[in-house]
Amino acid sequence: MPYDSVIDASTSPLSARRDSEPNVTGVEWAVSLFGGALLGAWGMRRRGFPGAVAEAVGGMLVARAVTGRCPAKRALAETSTERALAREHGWRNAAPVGRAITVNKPRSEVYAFWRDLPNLARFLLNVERIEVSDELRSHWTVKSPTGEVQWDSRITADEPDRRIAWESEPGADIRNTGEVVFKDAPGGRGTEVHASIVFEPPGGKVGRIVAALFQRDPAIQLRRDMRRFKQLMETGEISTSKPPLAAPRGV
Amino acid sequence: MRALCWHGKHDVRVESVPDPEIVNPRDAIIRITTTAICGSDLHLYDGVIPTMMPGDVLGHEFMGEVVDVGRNVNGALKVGDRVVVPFTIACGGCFFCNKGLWSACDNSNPAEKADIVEALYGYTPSGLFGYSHMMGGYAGGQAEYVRVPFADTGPIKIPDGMDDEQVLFLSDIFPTGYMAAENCSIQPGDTIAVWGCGPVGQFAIRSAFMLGAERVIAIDHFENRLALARQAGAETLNFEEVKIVEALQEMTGGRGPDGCIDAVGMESHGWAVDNVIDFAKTTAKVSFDRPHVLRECIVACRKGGTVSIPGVYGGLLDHLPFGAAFGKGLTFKMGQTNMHTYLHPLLQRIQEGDIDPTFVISHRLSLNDAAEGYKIFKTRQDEVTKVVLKP
Repeated sequence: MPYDSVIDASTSPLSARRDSEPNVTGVEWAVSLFGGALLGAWGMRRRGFPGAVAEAVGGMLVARAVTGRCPAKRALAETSTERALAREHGWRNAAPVGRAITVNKPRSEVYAFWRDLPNLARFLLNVERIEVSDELRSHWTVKSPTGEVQWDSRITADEPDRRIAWESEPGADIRNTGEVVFKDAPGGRGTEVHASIVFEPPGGKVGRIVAALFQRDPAIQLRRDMRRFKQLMETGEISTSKPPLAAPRGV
Repeated sequence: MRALCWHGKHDVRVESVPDPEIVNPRDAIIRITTTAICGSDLHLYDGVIPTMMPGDVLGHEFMGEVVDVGRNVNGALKVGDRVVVPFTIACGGCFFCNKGLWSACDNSNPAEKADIVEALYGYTPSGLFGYSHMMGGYAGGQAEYVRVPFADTGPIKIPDGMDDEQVLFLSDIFPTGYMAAENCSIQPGDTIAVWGCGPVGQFAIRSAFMLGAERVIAIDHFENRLALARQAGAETLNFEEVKIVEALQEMTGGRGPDGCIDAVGMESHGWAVDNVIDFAKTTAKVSFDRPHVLRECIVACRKGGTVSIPGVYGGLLDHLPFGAAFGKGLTFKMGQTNMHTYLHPLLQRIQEGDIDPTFVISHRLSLNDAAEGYKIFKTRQDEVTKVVLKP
């Protein structure tokens, strides 16, 4: 059977896209170039530790102007993908996260497990409760860095054995949308599961960085949750060495 | 229960900790009857392995009696069975386990722990017993009891009539030395050079002969360890007395050894210039590894030969002669041992008398004296080849 390509191979996941066009332009470019050159020149005359620091900072300022690109600024700024997603959904801002894993089980079995929504609470660590309201609607209660958040979720597409997509209903504490795509891995090596979620991060980019510090960023959670999903499907249990039972702490 | 706990560099203590319990349905609890200190435990003792936490229970070479099993072990093990437990934990159901790459098991490293390695190295290895949190954070077996996950897949049952000490080293060093030799794809007439005559090196030497090597040349600087290598039929070189690459060239008629085994890893001994520079860098914490032996293996190995690496490395290795490796067309084989592949065949080797693994034991201590065991294994390597502990 040929490779079952549900996602176009040329389309990278939203979360993996990055910008590479210049992000140091105009006045900022001029200030960076001439300010950096001045600071560097001062540092060379000044000598000593302050001189060395001035040289290094001046050099970096000149480098970001010459290349027209600043990795630090890029890391803190909204990407063009995030801007486009926010516009598309009508949100203040948007953050895409994604994770793909391969499960050594047939596609129909993997899909069926996922489609039975209460199963998800077994491996989604931050999910406290999933209450199924009807065939398409469910109510989610989730731990977040700021306390409990809730939303109603509605399945917007359900293609058996292939794809499930959803979005949050109006009134969600954190607006979100996502899809999970199931496809056969090549050579009969099980099922690829591609999960992607777009959400409206409270506090925008800065909020995400703070959440990541507390290991509560959805990108980190999704990575771990997908791993737990795979463990549950392949081994029937979720691996743990958590203290005090499995890895006792000294007393 | 009593267990040997890690508290920092050169600080391990036997302490009272809570007994382990069944957590997952495929778990078993083993009452340890014999355990040992591994050379790789000294990397933990020296504080060079990241993600250790004070209180971690060490030990990944152990055996004992099954005292409790989870509901899904399904008769694979029963209470009362005597078992040796492989140090790598494997689920038996993922792609890697199915391919026999047990140490690459996708599932045995808990998600939040596997995340640490993914950040550091970009991949996730299997869980290990008592070997840092990035390797799963599982409590080890230098203790009275241990929890064994996926107990239906890992432990091997030991027939009556065999002593603990005969089979204990199936838990790590025998399979590890054997895989190191097997990785050299030994052909009739081959000469294999083994750097490091610690326990893994000793088993690699004996395994190389079992697999048909014509000659084995063993390299170390501890005379007792070299003597142990000679007992197995190896020729030996003391690197404090001879220049190794030159001597190997001479001994192999200018060809170089067909296979070179680095049974040393990240903490090379000796005063070679490159090793002294690495000492400075590791002391300054800008590097984890002192890969002097690996460099020497690459330079010494014959064209088209194999460099097999059972020694543990941790980070980014500097100044490897990769131009020579490329030019010679070397094959590199390495990695944590795919333990589960070797348990039954090597148990059979022991039963048939091909090898008596007890040769490597130099000291027998009570678990209560485990801290002393670490100390002498670290500081008196000439006389101490293997420390076995009884709980």
